[in-house]
Amino acid sequence: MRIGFFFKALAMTLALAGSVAMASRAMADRIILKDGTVLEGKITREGERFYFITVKIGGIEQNKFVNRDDVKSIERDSAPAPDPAAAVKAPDAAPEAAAKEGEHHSGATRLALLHFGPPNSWHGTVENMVGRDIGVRAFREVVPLLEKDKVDIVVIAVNSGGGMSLEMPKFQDLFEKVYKPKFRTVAWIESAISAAAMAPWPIEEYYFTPSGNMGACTEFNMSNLVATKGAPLEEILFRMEKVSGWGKKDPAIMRAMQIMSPLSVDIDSNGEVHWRADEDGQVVLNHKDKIFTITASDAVKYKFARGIAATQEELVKAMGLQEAEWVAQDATDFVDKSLRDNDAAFKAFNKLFEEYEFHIGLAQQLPDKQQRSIELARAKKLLAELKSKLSLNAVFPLFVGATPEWFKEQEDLIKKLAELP
Amino acid sequence: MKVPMNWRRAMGAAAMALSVLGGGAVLGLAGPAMAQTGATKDAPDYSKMQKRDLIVFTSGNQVEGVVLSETDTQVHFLLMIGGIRSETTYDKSTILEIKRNEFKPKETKDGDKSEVKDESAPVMSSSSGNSYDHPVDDKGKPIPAGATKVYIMNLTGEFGHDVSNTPMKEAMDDVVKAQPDVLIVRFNNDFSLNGEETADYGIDLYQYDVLEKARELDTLLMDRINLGGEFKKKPHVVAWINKALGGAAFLPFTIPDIYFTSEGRLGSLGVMETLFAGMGDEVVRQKQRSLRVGRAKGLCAKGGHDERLMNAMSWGAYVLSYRIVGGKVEFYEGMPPGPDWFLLKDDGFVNEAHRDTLQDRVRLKGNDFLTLDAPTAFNIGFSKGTADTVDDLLAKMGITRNYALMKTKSPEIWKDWSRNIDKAEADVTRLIREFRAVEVKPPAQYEQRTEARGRRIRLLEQIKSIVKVYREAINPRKVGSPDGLIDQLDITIDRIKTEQTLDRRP
Repeated sequence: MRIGFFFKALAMTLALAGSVAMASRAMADRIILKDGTVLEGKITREGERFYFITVKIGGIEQNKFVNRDDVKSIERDSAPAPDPAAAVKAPDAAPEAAAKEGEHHSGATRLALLHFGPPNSWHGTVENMVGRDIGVRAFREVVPLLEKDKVDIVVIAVNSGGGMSLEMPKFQDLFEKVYKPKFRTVAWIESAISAAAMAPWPIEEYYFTPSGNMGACTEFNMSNLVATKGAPLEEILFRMEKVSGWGKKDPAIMRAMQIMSPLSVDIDSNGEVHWRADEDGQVVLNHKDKIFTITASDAVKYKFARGIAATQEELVKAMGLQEAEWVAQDATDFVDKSLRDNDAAFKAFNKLFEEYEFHIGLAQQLPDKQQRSIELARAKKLLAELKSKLSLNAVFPLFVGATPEWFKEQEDLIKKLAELP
Repeated sequence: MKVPMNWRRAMGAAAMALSVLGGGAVLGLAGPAMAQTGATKDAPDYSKMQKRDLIVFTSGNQVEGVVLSETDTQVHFLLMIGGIRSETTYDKSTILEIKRNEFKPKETKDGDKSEVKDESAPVMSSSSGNSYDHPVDDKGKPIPAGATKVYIMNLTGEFGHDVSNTPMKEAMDDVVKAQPDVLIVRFNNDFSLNGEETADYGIDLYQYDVLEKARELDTLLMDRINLGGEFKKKPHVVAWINKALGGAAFLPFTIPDIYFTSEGRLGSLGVMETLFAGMGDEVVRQKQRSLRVGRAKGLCAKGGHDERLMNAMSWGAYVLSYRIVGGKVEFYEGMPPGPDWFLLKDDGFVNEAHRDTLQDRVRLKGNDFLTLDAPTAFNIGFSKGTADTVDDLLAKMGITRNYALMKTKSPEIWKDWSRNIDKAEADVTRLIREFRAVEVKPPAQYEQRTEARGRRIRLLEQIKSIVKVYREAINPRKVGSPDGLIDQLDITIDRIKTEQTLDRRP
């Protein structure tokens, strides 16, 4: 967790002065949100369009980002948090701490960019399947790098046509329980289709590129284009209702993306947008026989997203940051590398699978035992190799139909063929 | 009868190509077709490289390592952090400075400075002797300083085949070198897909398959201009539409300023209601349609055009009307609600009562599908004007004098690509024929069988090398799906090698 340098330095000074009273009062600011939520803690930073407040939840301190647009009122029990840029220049307050902190923090807001899917500038050289090419592990492992570089804002740049449902809740939990408490977490949408829309759904702050699009979240079986039905469907609908709560979004939006469900909006006299799960609102965004995908212009018009940005510079402006620097390049590189590595690993896995199919097929056709045994030895080796690769990514086998049952069948087949005269 | 998706076409074609190769028995097509990177085979040993170069980013960040290669827009870099080495690519727009040879090589035990093999040197040096330092016009005369430099990029042939990533990248490299003031992208494409032409009044239900290609081309064209940072002054880009039907209609949407020729037509994207028809569940079909239209509308929004036009070009049941109020266009999603409204497109595709007559369709007067002609495009504000000559076009743009049409490499680049891709397809077809002709009639000897297998492998390797280069645009109807084909070629080669291993001298 990062607290503004000035506050840390100031707190240290006061602590040295023995001001116990200040310490006891430090957690007493209240931010009352428009939806009735009350955040009680210490406002540590604030800008033109945001606050950071440190709150204690279950004994654990969390640094929460709050958009000024969402705030109804503020009750302060401490002096307003200083402007972070000014804070760096603040003199004399704990100079040692200032020097140490200053090594890493210029006062500008520090942003890191993580690619959730290969950006368009890679020109399709890497695939973009969630769970296969885009793995949660890299996003988890990169957190210490982000912390080390004292990142304030993590931008998750989404560009993916979807993927495996299996990976989706892992991403959701990671963003909700790890990223959001530590960083102001922002989604920047180029194309977020299906699982790629659902995975970052807990993120509250969205920006789109000019051509951005997000939706089409129907879960289905790729082999026969049949949708998930019955209890599994209810489970995933329920899951997304819950995650909509995390992301502070009306659940009707995601529902219309998942199943054929109507969606419309009313805009009241204050300009507030009210979502409706019917076609009776002022503007119908999705008819009852369609699946919803939202585009950048509608996302902003109906306050689903806060802005449109084509470049990182425009994104900084859209976020209302006066001064910003992009940092944690090693974290960006780490996630990029994972995309490339996963892509290459799957392609290699797929090739291995095809080679296995070839050799086992040949073994089945060979009448001569000696010749067959050569093929079986190759097939056995390839099968073992395939098995050893399962730990790389548990979803790889699903793409080629290599389930645990399939492995068992193949082992039995090899054994049976070896026993033939 | 057509199958309803490109991938189905491609897979079917791949299977066809494989059966031609004679390897059908055990060559499963169950797995998704995957491209091979083929990048690591000849890669240098990075573990032996020493830190040499320093990149300073505009953000102030720095990274250390070795510049492996670079283009005008990107730097391929071997990143070194402690003992970790990792390949990565940076956009030059994010780079402030590359400090080459910043780090001296370490001395070895015997005192010699270890040398990093020059395989890490840039493969493409930064441009020198730019032929546009002294630009000439299309007649070869020097363009005087201060004249508006106009670059024309003519896109012809089949979109996705003749108009593809590699020539677009090369053409844009040329545009960057030329640094024009105006870039005119002229669309005059065949209304065809995988070599099959459709009449202008017809509708090819599968043209939406080209959407992803258009999205890729957009990044090479408009993103490079708007986001790349390679232009001293960004050129004013205009799309000039003569014929952009089917997949070719997507790309102009990303360009804000559009002009038509008087015969110009743009549209005929297909009918979403037919996509995946008869396959799977309705909700899944709707999902597939929704994401495609969503992405197409994204292109539309990128160029600042009204997304309802993309709805009208995509959905058969969608109805759109318009009127002009105070010089501004208003759209209405439905039949004209009053006498001052004009119908742009009705629901004739699903509503018999509104269906176009054959006479109207052939005369390009139908409205069951939205295909914009020059007057309509202008009326609804999609087109800024109609011009049949470059002079007219420039005049409409407000450029009436002191301009010059640049002599560029663009015509050559596009022509070469079209010729090469056609040749590649013909070569692959010929090589497959030659492969099939390699026969060893019994009772052949071991040496003859060995020689025949060697020849077959060589032919397959030749096919593979061609497909690898032209995979982005190769017509799957002619030679099979390129990605699937490469995998299957590898397996077939493997099978022949296995046969050879199992063969025995008598």
